[in-house]
Formats: sequence, C-alpha cells, structure tokens
Amino acid sequence: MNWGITIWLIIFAIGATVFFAIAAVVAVKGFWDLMDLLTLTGTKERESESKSKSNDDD
Amino acid sequence: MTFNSLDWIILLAYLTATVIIGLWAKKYVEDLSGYMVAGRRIKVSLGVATFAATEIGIITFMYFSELGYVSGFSCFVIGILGLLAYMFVGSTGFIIEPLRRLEVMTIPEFYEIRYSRRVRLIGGIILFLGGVLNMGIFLKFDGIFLSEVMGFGESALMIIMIIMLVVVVLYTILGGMFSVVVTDYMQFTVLAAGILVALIAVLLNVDLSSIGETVVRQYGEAGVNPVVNSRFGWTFIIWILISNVAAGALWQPGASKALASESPTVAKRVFFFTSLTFAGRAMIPMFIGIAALTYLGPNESPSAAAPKLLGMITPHGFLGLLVAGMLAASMSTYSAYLLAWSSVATRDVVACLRPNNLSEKDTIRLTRIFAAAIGIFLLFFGLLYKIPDTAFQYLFITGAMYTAGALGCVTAGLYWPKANNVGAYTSLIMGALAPAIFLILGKFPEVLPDGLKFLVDVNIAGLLSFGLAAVGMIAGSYFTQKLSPPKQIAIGGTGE
Repeated sequence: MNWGITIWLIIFAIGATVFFAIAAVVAVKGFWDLMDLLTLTGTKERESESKSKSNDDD
Repeated sequence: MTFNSLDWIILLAYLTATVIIGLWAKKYVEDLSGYMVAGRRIKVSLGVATFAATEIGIITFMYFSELGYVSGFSCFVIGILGLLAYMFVGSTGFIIEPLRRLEVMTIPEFYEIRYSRRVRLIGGIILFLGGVLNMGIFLKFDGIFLSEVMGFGESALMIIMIIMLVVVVLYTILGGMFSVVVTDYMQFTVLAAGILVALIAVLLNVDLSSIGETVVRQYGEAGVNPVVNSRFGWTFIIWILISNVAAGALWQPGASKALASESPTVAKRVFFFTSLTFAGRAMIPMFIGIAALTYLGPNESPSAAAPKLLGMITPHGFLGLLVAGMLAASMSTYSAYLLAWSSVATRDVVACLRPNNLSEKDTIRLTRIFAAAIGIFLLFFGLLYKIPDTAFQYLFITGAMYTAGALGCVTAGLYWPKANNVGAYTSLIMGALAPAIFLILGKFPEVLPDGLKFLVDVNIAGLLSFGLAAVGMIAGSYFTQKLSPPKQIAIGGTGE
C-alpha cells in the first residue's frame, strides 16, 4: 500500500471513530434533552391552559 | 441475500414506532413558533442529533458511495472540507449567531428585516425552487438503494417508497418541528446503528490491502490525490469549501436547527459538535463505495454498487437493522426538508404576496398543504428527471442556485453597512444564473460556442455562482447608495 492510501485510511479511521463516539454521547445525553423539552413544553401548555381558564372565570 | 421474516419484523417494528411517536408529538404544538422551531427550546445534544440526522439520508449514503466507487480515496477530501466549513461556522457563529439573535424562523425573513419585503419574496421563491429541485432526486436514489439491498422489483419498491413518504408527510404535517425533533432523535440512534452494522460487515468481508491495491490499479495517482483527479481539482475544492460554509449557515433544513436552539450560544455549539461528525458522514459511505469496487469489480452501476455489496454480505437480522437505519436516515431528512420548504413557501412567498398578514392558524394550515404538495411532487419528479453527471454534483449545483445569492445577501446584510436592496436583488439573481444555465444548457451543450463551453462544466458553474453573487452584491450596492439608501438594523435580540 502506498503512503497516500495509508494516510487516507488513518484519516478515515479517525473520522469514523469520532462519528460513532458523538453518536453514542448524543444518544445518551440527547434523551435527557428530549425529556426536558417535552416536560417544559407540557408545563407551559398547562400554565397557559390554566391562565385562560382563570381569565374565563373572571 | 434478500429480506427474510426476521428482517421484516425489525423493519415493521421500526416503522410502526416512528408513526406512533411522530403522531404523539403533535400534542406539544401550541402555536406557530412551536410548529416551526419547536418553541426555540432545543439543547445541545438533542440539537446535534436532529441536525446530524437531517444531514444524513439514503441519498447522502448513495452519492458519497457513488463517488468512492468512481474516484477512490481522492473524494475523501469532501469530508475534510465539510468538517472545516461547519467547524468554522460553529466556532465563529458566522451568520447563525446573529440570525438566532434576530429570532427569525426562515432565512428570507432576514431579507425583509434588512432589505425589503420584495427582496424577501424573490429570495423565498429562489430558495423554494432550489430546495425542492434539490430534493427531487432523493426518492429515486432511495429506490435504487432499497432494490439492491432488499432484492425487490420496481413495483414493490414504489409501494415501499409511497408508504415511507406518506408516513413522513403525515407526521411532519401534523406535528411540525416537534415531530421532526422527536423522530430525528430516534432516527439518529437507529441510523448510527445501521451505519455501524454496514461498516463492520464490510470490514469483515473486504480486506484493506486489496482495497488499496484496487484503487491504485484502477485510478492510479487520481485515486489518491484530489488535485490531479479530473473530477475534482482546485476549482472543485474551492467551490465545495465555500458551498459548505454557505450551506452550513444558510440551507434552511439545517439552519432551522440553529434557529430552533435554546440560545445563540447553543446554536454555535450544535454546529460545532455536528461538524465533528462530518468527516465520518462522508468517508464511511465513500469507503463502502471503494469496498464495492474491490469486491464487485469496476463494471457495476456506480450508484448501485455499494447497496449491492451490503445486500450480499450483511447477515439476516442485521440486514433488517441496516434497512431500518437507512430508512430512518431518509425519513429524518425528508421531514426536515418538507417542513423547511413548506415553511418558506408559506411565510416567504404566499404571505409576502398578500396585503394582510396571515393568521397563525392559516400559516400552519397552508404549511401543511404545501408539505403534502411537495410530497406528491417528489414522487413524480424522481421518476421523470434524468440526473446530469454524479448525484453529488447535481445536489451542490441546485443548492448553489440559492446558497450563492443568499451568502452574498446575508453576509453583506449582517457585516457590511453599505449593502442595499439593489445589491440584494443583483446578488440573488446573479447567484442563481450560473447554476440555472448549467442545468438547462447542460442538456444541450452542442448549442454553445467553444468559448462558452465552460458554462456546462459543473465545477466552474458552481464556483462562478458564488463569484457572480459576490460581485452583484458589491457592485450593485456600491454604485446605488443614493438611489437606494441602505437600511441599518440592530442585532441585539433576546436570544440568551
């Protein structure tokens, strides 16, 4: 194998490893971000619902 | 090897889960900002998952593996260029940070803030046309991939493609960005698993020294050095680097992920961490394309070789996971694109043509209608259009129709106080000119005199579009300062 191919294979190995490492980290941390997003949105939804309800009562 | 019952169970379980989760997320849409940018509450890891999922589809796998098959290792330079360009945008906040501060939902919205409503309309039309044309070939390549991996005929494929499109259109229409983000997260994890399966299957079946020998025997120096490869060269390298910066910051499906981020700082971090996946995103499918060249020989169809190889070497069960992963990749891309282009058509074209503003309810309703119409268009366009040269170049040249002018307009609008309406019009139109000439005259190159034949060279047309857009902005603005005084804006925002 010539040097050019060896260098590209090393760069490929680094690129692929970084890709899968980020995928693994994002799979774990992204789950908690997703839960936060849905919880926060659900809370805001409930707040706006109760606000409009109390306005109606007034 | 073709699909067996275990593969089908995995695939159907995945598709069912996607439909249920996508539709379930609809309940979180509370208003227009919820529908279009998920209420601007996306944090870093989720932002990276949804951005990376948008940037990887079957189409990405197909055009990169096709390039690996026809050019060897020299195409790996594209992965490096993507990494550098997106890292530049992520580390400096170039364009995305001020746009996030301005709290726009689409890129043409900025044109109205900085220039005028008419510039927004023209920018919106060009973005919509460039974007939908760009997306037009996705289904065709998805079909080739699935037919080679699953071993089906064309009639069965059409049914699979229609089911997939209906599922995506349905949850995108109903749940907007919330459904896109929630399904993107799931799809990113499934697609990463699918790509890992594909890579391991290739590494177990094709040895590295044969790969190196095949590339040298088939392409010589051009298989290793992109500068001497006739497909690439310096013109291509400069064009793709500029194009990646422009696409990174301004391509609506990706940029919408920055605009949906929790804050400008989060938007930058999302771009930076996603950029780190860009070398692997390009090089893994390219490597599989080169492995296909080694394993199957040089006489296969370049676009079909990699999926054919995967269909032959991936064991049952894993094949189902691979196809589910690839469908996940495509669905996340389709959903983001559908939402992006339908939002642009509604907010930047239809709304700009009306004297009164559209209500939030009407905007969401119209966006849903456009998403369905684009889905129908995709089915027909993908079957009828014949793609010039490689898919990679088609995608970048149709993308340049918009990104070239947009790069001129937005960069100058944000960082050059003299940018005015005339400069913006000229930049948008001149940026779209070279790609349009290439797409039309590329079909009839014989009508061009010898001196103008360079216009149908895809690399020159692509680079020229950015040059013309820049010249249009600078000259157009510089010579018309009195006629059209530039509007100044404050980019403070409440983003943090």
